[in-house]
Parts: sequence; structure tokens; C-alpha cells
Amino acid sequence: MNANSCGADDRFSSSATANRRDVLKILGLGGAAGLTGCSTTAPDPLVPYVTPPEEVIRGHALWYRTTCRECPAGCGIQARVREGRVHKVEGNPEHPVNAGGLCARGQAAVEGLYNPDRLRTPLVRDAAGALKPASWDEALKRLAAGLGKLDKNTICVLTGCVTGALAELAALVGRHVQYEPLNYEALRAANQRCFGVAALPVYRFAEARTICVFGADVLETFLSPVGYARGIAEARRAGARLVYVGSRLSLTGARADQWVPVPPGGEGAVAMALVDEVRARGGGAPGVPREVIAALAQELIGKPALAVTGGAAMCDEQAVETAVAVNLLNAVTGAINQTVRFDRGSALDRTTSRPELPDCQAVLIAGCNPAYSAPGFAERLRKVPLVVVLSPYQDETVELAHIVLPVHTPLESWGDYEPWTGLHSLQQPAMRPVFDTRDVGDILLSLARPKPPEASFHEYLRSRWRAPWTAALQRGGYWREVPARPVKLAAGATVSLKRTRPEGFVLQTYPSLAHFDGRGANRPWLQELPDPVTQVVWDAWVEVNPKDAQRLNVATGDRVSLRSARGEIELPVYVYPGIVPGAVAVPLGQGHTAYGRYATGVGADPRKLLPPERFSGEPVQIALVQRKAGLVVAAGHDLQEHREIARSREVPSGADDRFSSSAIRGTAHPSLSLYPPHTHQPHRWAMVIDLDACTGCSACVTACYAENNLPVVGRYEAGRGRLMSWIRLERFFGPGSSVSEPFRIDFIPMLCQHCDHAPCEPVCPVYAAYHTAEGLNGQVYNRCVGTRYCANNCPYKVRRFNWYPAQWPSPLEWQLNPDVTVRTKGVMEKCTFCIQRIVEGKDRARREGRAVRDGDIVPACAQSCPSQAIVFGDVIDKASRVNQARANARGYTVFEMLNTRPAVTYLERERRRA
Amino acid sequence: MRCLVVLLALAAGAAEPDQPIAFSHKIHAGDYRIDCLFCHSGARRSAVSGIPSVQFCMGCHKSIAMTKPEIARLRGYWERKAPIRWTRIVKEPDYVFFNHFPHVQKGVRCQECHGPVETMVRLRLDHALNMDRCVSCHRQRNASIDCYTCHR
Repeated sequence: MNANSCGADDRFSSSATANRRDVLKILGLGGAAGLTGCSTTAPDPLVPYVTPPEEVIRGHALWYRTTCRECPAGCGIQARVREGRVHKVEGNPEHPVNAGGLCARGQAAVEGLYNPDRLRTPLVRDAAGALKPASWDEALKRLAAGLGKLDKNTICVLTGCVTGALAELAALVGRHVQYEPLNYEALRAANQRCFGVAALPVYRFAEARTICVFGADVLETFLSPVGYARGIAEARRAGARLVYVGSRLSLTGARADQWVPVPPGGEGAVAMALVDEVRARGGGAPGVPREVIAALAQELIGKPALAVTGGAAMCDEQAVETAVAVNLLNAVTGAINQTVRFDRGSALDRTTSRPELPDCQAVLIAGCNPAYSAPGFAERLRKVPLVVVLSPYQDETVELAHIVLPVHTPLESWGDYEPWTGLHSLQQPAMRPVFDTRDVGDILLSLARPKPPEASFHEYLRSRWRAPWTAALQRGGYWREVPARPVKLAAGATVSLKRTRPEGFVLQTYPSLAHFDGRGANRPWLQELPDPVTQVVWDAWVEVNPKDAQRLNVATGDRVSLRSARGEIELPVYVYPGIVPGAVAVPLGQGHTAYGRYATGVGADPRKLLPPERFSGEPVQIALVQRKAGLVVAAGHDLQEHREIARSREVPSGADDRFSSSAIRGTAHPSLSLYPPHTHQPHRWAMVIDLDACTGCSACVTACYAENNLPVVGRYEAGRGRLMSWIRLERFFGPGSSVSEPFRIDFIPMLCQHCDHAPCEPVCPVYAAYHTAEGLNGQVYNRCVGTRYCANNCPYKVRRFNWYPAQWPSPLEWQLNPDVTVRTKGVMEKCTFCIQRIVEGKDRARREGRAVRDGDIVPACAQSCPSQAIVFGDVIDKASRVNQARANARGYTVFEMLNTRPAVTYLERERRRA
Repeated sequence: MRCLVVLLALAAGAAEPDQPIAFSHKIHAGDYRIDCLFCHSGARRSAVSGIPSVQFCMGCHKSIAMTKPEIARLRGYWERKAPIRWTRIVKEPDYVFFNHFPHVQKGVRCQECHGPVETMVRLRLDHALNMDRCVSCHRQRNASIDCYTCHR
């Protein structure tokens, strides 16, 4: 019986005098009522436009190109808008920074837009010292009164990394300071010393064939991770080898062919040893075998090389020396002006990580949260007589403000951003403001002295834009070439590395892949995104080496206290073989005290233990607080137990056979079946995932959440194994039954394999799981009765059951994709290969009067992939890319021995030897 | 209880709900033979056929039948810039993804699903638009009866 809100009791009482047959008839009708939507008391009215916007066709998506401002990378994005609402953002394929890919944080920008914890009215601090809602007039009047009599030099405008029109306006309001917690000042200082340029370089990963990473998290958070992932994938297709030097195996390290573990802060010594080795002087570094250095040096001089440092290596007190050492290495291998170039400056070059407020009478804070992310800033802020915060959300800085003005999120704002010199990226509102908020630019414009003649920030921006406006709106900006700016190594650039060995454990921190410096923590998708390395959700943790854990007698999930000279925090332990003994690592980004319902009170912030000037290298003491306090780890199992799920093979470094059709895969098991094979017409959809290109960045996971209306279940349900992700990044610590030696990590994106002999299909008693004519394993939600037999019978464990009704606190439900059903409680669901995109692609072809072409249909996961590891297409089309990729010699299917015949082919990862 | 009554009424094909303006399909589509797709143009290219905007109605009624009381009401909406809240006649459940465009393209007449609209002074739905009706027509015309065609 269909459970609907009509209420069974009502229906019974109405027919109390009728006989049984009548009762059943009426009950049947009641059931039908459920199907026709009677659960709402009156059908919703149809409300057409009064005057329709010219470009809107109901049911068709519009795409607006704009710029992602979730981190300083400045990727180009396009927002998909249906009936005036943004549903999803994707990378702009024409943009030079990211070329179509987009990371998980960028995808989650829509959850910033529709965040239920957005500020809805201005707030003003009253006489009693409490923040009270106020009208815009009242708040602006108070703001004008507060700022009007002040000298411009005593007003500080503190923003995140901005360029162009907004930066110009900020300078007209007061002293403009740009604050970014992660801005690699040490790198700039080293470049100043070595080359006389205090700038961040452009790294051309695609052109390098030996890439040596010194602690930099280039695939997660370092400068421009999406662009770098693409560059590294290109380099690998051309045979490049990736080496990671560091004390903690990060996601980038997991991706590398070789990990050279070093003691904390030992990256610089390895770089110097390599410099000495290349110069044929013979060098050595503590903790690294001599022959490793010699072999690596050989590789670096033999091929186009690129050494890059960042991350933990750029956070301790030796950061500048380490960066100089890496610069020297790049200089001796000839990488400077080739793969490491200074032609384009970075927007980050003008930012600081330690904002000061000397003789400041008023401060305007926009686009950053320094009270959370800058240690000691809150105390300084309390001394400022007038604190004005322009923020879309409740956060720690808002708590300290006198006047709070709710502003647009980037998807509602105008703007321009030049992440690298010459790449002018335009930002346009993709929809009307969700709440009664204003553009930061408009507020700054009203406060600017002298006041510019333009009436709005939009006009101000347009009057300063130096290219055809409409074309820029359509493309997402304009990019111009810049002249080469070769640099020369300054004579006498030397390195003085000192080696200190602190008492206790050395604390390292790293920006979390999901939350960056903490700004992503209020997005539920990002809280529920398993960290790819540890697979932890909804928490922060401290990584401890197994040997240290044994010595401390702690295990994963135990709660410990970390104490430094500056403070103390408590965190659950994660025993991680990828961190060297003596070091412990904590991700940044959690431990918020006032950042909305999703972030507040989750985890702890390691910056409490650190001096303001660095993120790593602080000695800490660890003590057990509570056993088994709990840590939600999404991974079912850490090991592959020889099941060859995520395969990799050792190969000599060199050319790649990725698309060579001559290398046809060896014959697999003969396919045995009692049943005739399926006949697939007119298409047979299939996917190929290249594990050699996959970095584990999990952009696909968040893209799937956005596209397919996946619910967020929260920490408690996640702990019971009820995450709803249709695609997950499985992570393994080695192929066998124990953690591999040397330690390595393998990733495999696991989604419905759309098997030909699907174990889920025959066990469904109601045919809700069925095989479509085009080879998909269909799942019909309105047929499903929730027996869960299919999930039990699925060897890939990709089916997800709705245990509870999904919740989208308003206005988060505005994000829901109108082309996909919102599933109800008691229904099984799983990957559909984005059936709505398949239908849309076919419709488009039909409208244009042609057949579906290869590349017309791209599922959300494949679209988002920064390294283009996922290829989707039609197997019946012999020329399709997916067919070529399936013929690759590296191809295999997971659990081939089960004869499920999946439609998803994986290409083995290559581990290239020196 | 109320919805049960509504449903029984619907099943009997008698629901001719009140509309904010007494729009007659008989006059427009019947007497004057205006093509359905002239007003419901979304059906030509989109899943949604669409209800014309107030501006669209005013496109003709600026100069046609201006003295009629119902047109005066329409003009009132236009002058107030207020949208008209029509009572919905056809509502598919949320898990059904009906797409007008392929049906129109294949030449399926609107009346085959919506009934003889051109004869209706007040719009009603003569028969339930249920899956049985969809599937039998799809079978007759050899169109796809794959579940994913409509459910996803």
C-alpha cells in the first residue's frame, strides 16, 4: 500500500459500513491517489512568467561562464541554470587554468550559494554588546557614520586574494591588505634571493619528464591543483615519472612512482644532495640512502626535469632554505625558464599570510575569515574601534564585528580575477541573489573616496574591462600571451640548512583536500567527502606512524591530546603507515567555533598549537585521553588481499601505450553463460577509467552528489556505513594481505559496473533492477520495494539504500537537479551512468537532426575529472574513444573471475622505475 | 478525505476547476483554429510545453476583444505585472519525466493525451494519464518501453 499523507484511518472510517470489497476498492483508489501526487492537499498552481526572459526556455539549461573563487587558483567555471536557479557548476573547457576540470571544492560552490547558514539580514552590535538584526538602511547609516570622519589611512580593507576592479575599489576605501592563509611567502622569498623576482613561478608540468615534488601537495591544494593535475596527467601520457620527497605521503605522494621518505623538514637536504650529485660533487642527505640520490640525480639530468616544493616543506622555519635548495636544483637541471617560468606573476604575489592592523581605527573584512585562520588575529581585532564584516555566512570573524553586512556569494557577484598575469577571468552572476544580500563591490563603491562616477559595481567593472565585453562573458574572460621573462640564478645563492631535532613529535599540518584552509567546512558535501588518503569523514584526525602508535599504545579511533608550548587540542588518532616515525600530521580546516551547522564543533584546529609564522615543525607531546572515542572511516578494508581490485604494474620509465591499438589485451577468461548474450541496440554504453591518470582527488564524487541529488547522511549514519555516494574512491595500502613495503597507496574509483551478467538483476523480486537495451543496469525507484537483495548480491558494493528520508535544509533543496528523481525512504539507488545526461544528449542530437556523436554524452564524473581519467562512450560505435581505450593492453575488469562482465574497464596504473 | 473526493471526481472525468481567468480553449483552438504550439511553443523543443506568459497573451489582446470582461481581467494582471496562478489540470508524479518534444516531433497529436481540448470551454482532463496509457501507445507505435525512457 502506498503510504501517503491522506491517512489510512480517514479512508477506513469513511467506509466503515461498506463491505470488504468496497473497502479494498477505495483503498486501491487511495493508493492511486498517492501516485498522482495527492500527498499535497492541493496541486501546486501553474505560474507562468509575466514577461518571459528572452533566453529562457523552460526545461532547457542555460550556462553562465564565471570564475571559481573557492580558492586563489581562479579556475574558469560554468554554472548550469534551470529556470533561474543554479544547479551545478562545471569547469569551463576553454579556460586556460583548468580546461574543463573542477575540484571537489569548486563543485561545492553551489552549497555555499544555498547554504542554510547564510546571513539573511545585516547585523549591528547594540549597546549591550549583542549582534542584532537590522535593516540595510540602518546598517549602512551606521557604517557611513563610523567611517565618514575617519582618515583613509586609518581604515584597513582586509580581503582575500583579489585583483582588478575590486582591488582598485578597496584601495579607494582604505589601506588594502590581501590576506590568504596559504600563500607561500617562503617560495617568494627564495625566488627573490635566487632570481631577484619575489614571485611564484608557473610550473609547466606537461613538459617535464621527471617531476620531483618536495612536499608540495600539487594535486590537492597547492596554487592551482586542477591545472597541475591535468599537466601531470599529460606528462605521464608522454612517459613522465613522478617522485615524491617528503615526510608524509600525501595524495600527491600516493600518485608518485616513488616515495623518498625523509625526516620532518628534510626535503631541503635531499634537494641539496641532488644539486651536489648533479654537479658531480657527490652528496648525501640524512635518512636517504646514497644510491637513491644518485639514481634520482641521473634521471633529473637525463630528461626535462621539474622540481617543485610547497606544502609541509614550505611551512617550517627552514622553508626559505628548502625553497632555495629546490631552486638550485631546478637551475642545475636546466629547468629554470623551461618548466619553471616567471613569465606570469601570480595574484598571490600581493597577499600576506599575517595581516597586521597597526593604528587602525576601522577595518572592513571581506572574503576571508582571519579570526579563524590567522592565529592571534582575533585579539588584534578586538582592539579595533570599528569592525565591519562583509560575509555571506556566519563565521568566527562575524562574531567579532560591530557591523555585519550579508553579501553575495561568488556565484551571485560580478567581478574579475587575474590568477596569473594576462589571464583575465570574468565573474558574472549566474542567478539572482538568493537572499537580501549585496555585492561586495557595490558596498565598496559606496564607500570609495573619491567616489567613482559609476552607479554600480557592474558598470565600474565594465568601464575597466579592456576587451570585448560580450565575448568575454561568453568565453569566461580573455587571455593574452605574455612576453617571456627569463631569469638568471644570482651568483652566490647558497643554502644553509640547519638540522634541529626537537623533543617529542614534530607536528605537521596540511590544508585539507576538502576544506582547504577551513573555508570549505560549511559545505555538507565536503564534510561527507572521505579524505582520499585516510577515508575519514566529518572529522579531523592526527596521523601517527604504526611504530609510534605501538610505542604510545594507541590505535585508530583513540582520542589523544596534542600539547605544544602554545596550546592543547584533542583529536582522534589515525594510524597511518605513510608518515615517518617521529612526525605527526593534522589536516587544517576543521575546528570551527562559529561557521554554521555543518562545521561548528567538528574536529579541532591544529593552528592552536603553532606560532603564527609557520604551519609545521612544532614539537608536540601526545597523551591518550580516551580509548575508542570514534572516528568515522569510510573505507571498508585497507588491503586488497590479493584480489587485484586496484591493479598496478611495474614498468620501465618511457613511452606509454595508452591508446595504441596494436596492444590488444590478452584473452580473458572465456565467457560462460547458460543464457543467450544481451543484444544491445542502438547503443551500448561503457566507461574506461585510467588508473594511471586518476589522482584520487575525489572531484568525481562531489560532481556526482551535485548531479544526481545524492543526500548527505551526516556523521552518525556515515559511521554505520550508510554513505550515499554512487561513486567512491577506494583506497588500498597495498595489493596483498599486509601493508606493502615500501609503502604505497592505490586508488580506484568504484561505481556501478553496469554488468552484462549483473548479479543484482535476477534477485530483484519486482524487476526494479533490470537490464536496459543500451546495456545499463537500470534501477526503477518507483518499482523498488526495498528488499535490498540487489545490494547484498552486488560484489562491487555500489548500491545505496535510503534508510531515512533525505534532508535538504532550506534553501539547499534549490540545488536539486530537476532532471533526476529525489528518492524516498526505502528505495535502493545507484549510479545510472547519468541517464539524464544520456537522454539529454540523445535529445540534442534529435533536435539537430543527427545521430549521437562520440563525446556528446559525458557523465558528471567524467566531466569533472581534472586529469581526464574517465572516458565514456558507445561500444557499438567502433571509432569511439571508449572503444580505443578498452583495447588498451592495460585494461582489466574488477572481479573478472565472477563473470559479471562489467561495462567499466579499468586501465592498470603504471609504477615507473627509474 | 478531500483528496479522495477530488480523485473520484477526477476519475469520473468531471473536474473542470475554476481558473483565475475563464480562458476558453474552444474559442482559441476550436473556433479560431489557433495551433496548440503557437501558445505552447515549448513543446517544439523542450520537455515542458509551457503556459504562455501574460505578455504573450497581451500580444494579441492589446487589440482583440478588448471589451470582454475576461480580457479586462487579463489586462489587470498585465498592468499590475502580476503573474496568473492557473489551476493545474495535468500533473505527472515526480518520478515521471515526460518530454513533449519527441512526441511532437513524431507527430503525436496533442489531443491523443490531452483529449479534445479544442471543444472545451473549461479545460478538463477526460482520462487519467497513467502508465498504462503511455505504454500501450508506445507499444502500438513501436516506441521504447524501457523503464529509463520515463523513470530516472
